[in-house]
Amino acid sequence: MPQYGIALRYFFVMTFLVLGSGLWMFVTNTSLSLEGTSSHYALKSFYGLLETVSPHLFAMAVLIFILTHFFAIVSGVKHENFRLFSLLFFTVMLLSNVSGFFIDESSLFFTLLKLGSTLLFILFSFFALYKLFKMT
Amino acid sequence: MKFLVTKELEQNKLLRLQVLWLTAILTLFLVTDLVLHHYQVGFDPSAAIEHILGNEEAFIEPILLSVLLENIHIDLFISMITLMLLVVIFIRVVHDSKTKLIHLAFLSAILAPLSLLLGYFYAEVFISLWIGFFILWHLCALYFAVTIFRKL
Repeated sequence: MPQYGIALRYFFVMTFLVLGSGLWMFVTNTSLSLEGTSSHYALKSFYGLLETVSPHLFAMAVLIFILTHFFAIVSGVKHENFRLFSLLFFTVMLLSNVSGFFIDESSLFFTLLKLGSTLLFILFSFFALYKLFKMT
Repeated sequence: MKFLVTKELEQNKLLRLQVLWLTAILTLFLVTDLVLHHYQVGFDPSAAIEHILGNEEAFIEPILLSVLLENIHIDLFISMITLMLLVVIFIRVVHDSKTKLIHLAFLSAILAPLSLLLGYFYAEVFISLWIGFFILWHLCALYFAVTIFRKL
């Protein structure tokens, strides 16, 4: 039914806006630099981090599931190609959320992990949206 | 969402009950969301403008950009999930679904946060537009919910 296609396309546009506003906040908070990321997360208390991480674990997992489940149900999609993609998608989401707890002023590794995994999550989301736009 | 578009909705009483409960709770959410935003921001244009842009005479600071972005980020996520769920059920139960209304609901939900940002950066009139779009997508969603109740 074409109406499902209309609803889906709007859903993808809204997902794009959610990701865009999230990226905007991330850039404002961290300046996308090692120093900015490190100082932003090192200054946060455990409670402050939890306040951000907890809703994001729920929302990002739901979003990944909704986006990736289309690859499993749409006919003509090779499941093998998207099995690894889904695994990586969930993994970078988890790393992006958890790495913030380990960042202090001297921890270059976790700062890089936070930056890398967050940017990868955004990249994977845009890739999934691009593929789904082409399918619908 | 594939679970909601099954053709067995009319025969499967359990699924029908679950869809009814989901719609009922989403209706409750839509009403509480309207009330919450009425208290937080205000649906009177002057109150909303004062909340977003501040008021020098009353010594009210404008809202911080980070707070505004956070609100927009959360509102967008919630509206896309709510609308998607209601529209998918609406299309399933109403065989001659109104396509224009689906466009109107999604477009107003998309334009609401964009208006808020434009109001913050450019002109007060966009904040009044935000009020209109915000109420409009809630009304469309409530219409979907009421129609689902009547058809199921």
